[in-house]
Amino acid sequence: MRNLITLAAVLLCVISNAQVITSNNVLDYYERTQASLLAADPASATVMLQVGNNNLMEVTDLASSYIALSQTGDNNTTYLYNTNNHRGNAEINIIGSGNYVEILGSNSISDGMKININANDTNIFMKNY
Amino acid sequence: MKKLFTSAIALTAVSLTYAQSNYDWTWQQGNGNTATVNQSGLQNNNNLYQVGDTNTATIDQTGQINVNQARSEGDMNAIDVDQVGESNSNATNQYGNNNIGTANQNGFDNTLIQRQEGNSNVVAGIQTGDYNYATQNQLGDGNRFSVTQLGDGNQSFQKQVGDSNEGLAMQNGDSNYIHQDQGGDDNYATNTQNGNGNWGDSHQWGNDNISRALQNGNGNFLEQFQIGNGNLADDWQIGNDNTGQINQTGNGHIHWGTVFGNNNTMTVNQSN
Repeated sequence: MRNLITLAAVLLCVISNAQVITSNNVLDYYERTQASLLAADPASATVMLQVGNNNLMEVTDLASSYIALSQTGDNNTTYLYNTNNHRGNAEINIIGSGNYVEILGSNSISDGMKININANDTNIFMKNY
Repeated sequence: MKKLFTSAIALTAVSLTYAQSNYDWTWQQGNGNTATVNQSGLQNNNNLYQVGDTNTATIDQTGQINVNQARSEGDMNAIDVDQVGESNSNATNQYGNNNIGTANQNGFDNTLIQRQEGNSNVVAGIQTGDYNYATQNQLGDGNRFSVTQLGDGNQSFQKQVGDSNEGLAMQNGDSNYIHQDQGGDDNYATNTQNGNGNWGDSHQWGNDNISRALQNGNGNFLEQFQIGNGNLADDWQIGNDNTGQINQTGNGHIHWGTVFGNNNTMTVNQSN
């Protein structure tokens, strides 16, 4: 409960700051709201979003309960590693440009995984063991 | 020749007078202490020290070579310093009981170093223009600190050790850099930088950590670690040479990212 209250407070701060930033705020609100909904009981949750230019993301999480990654344009690359036996629940959305996604981990890394790519130079490399 | 000689002597006298203007050393020992010092032009300096009981102090110095060094040691402490122009500097120390601090410097060679040790601490800061630099430093009980530096050479380091920690620091323009560091209990830290050299950093070690940072434009780089208990880190970087890197190690982890444009990268490790 305390977590939930803290998160609500933080979210309010974020929204009030965001009023001076850009129209992409909508996406951001979406992602952050997503996180706050999960926040009642997470030991690990990462929500990241990058919108333009030479993007790259790398997440290594040994006990993730939820991961959402999203890149919108330009030379995207995403690395996701998880070597433990945890259900990954990862959501990866990428919309355009040089996409490349690399996922490495135990078999359960693909449990609950969703990948949507809207295209350009897509490559997906995934290895489970 | 005689006139010239007289003038030279008069000038020397005046210079000496100027050279010696403003200086103050106040020292109080016990019971209902209060002190208020205002100094206005030239070689300001002041050095106040209060030892026990109901301390307060207010010092304003207005122009030229401002310095100031204040300290309260025990009981209901509070200090408040404003210095306005030239080679500002300040150091506020306080050691026990209901501490507060604050100082506020306006322009040129600002520096500010503050420190508090125990009980209901608060300390503030704010420096407005030119070669800013700050550090704050607290040890135990109700801690909070805050720095705001608005333009030019900004830097800023903070540190806290135990009890109900907070943080904050915010720099608006020019060669920013912040570093925050907290130890145990109800941590919270946030740093905001709006333009130019940005960097960031912030570590937290144990208990109900949160930590946020937001950098708006130019050389961004950010780094937040957290080690144990309630963790959350929440970073934004909006434009230019963004990087990131966040590590969280034990307990609650959550991390939100968000970057809008330019050479983005972001690396997160979470663990348990």
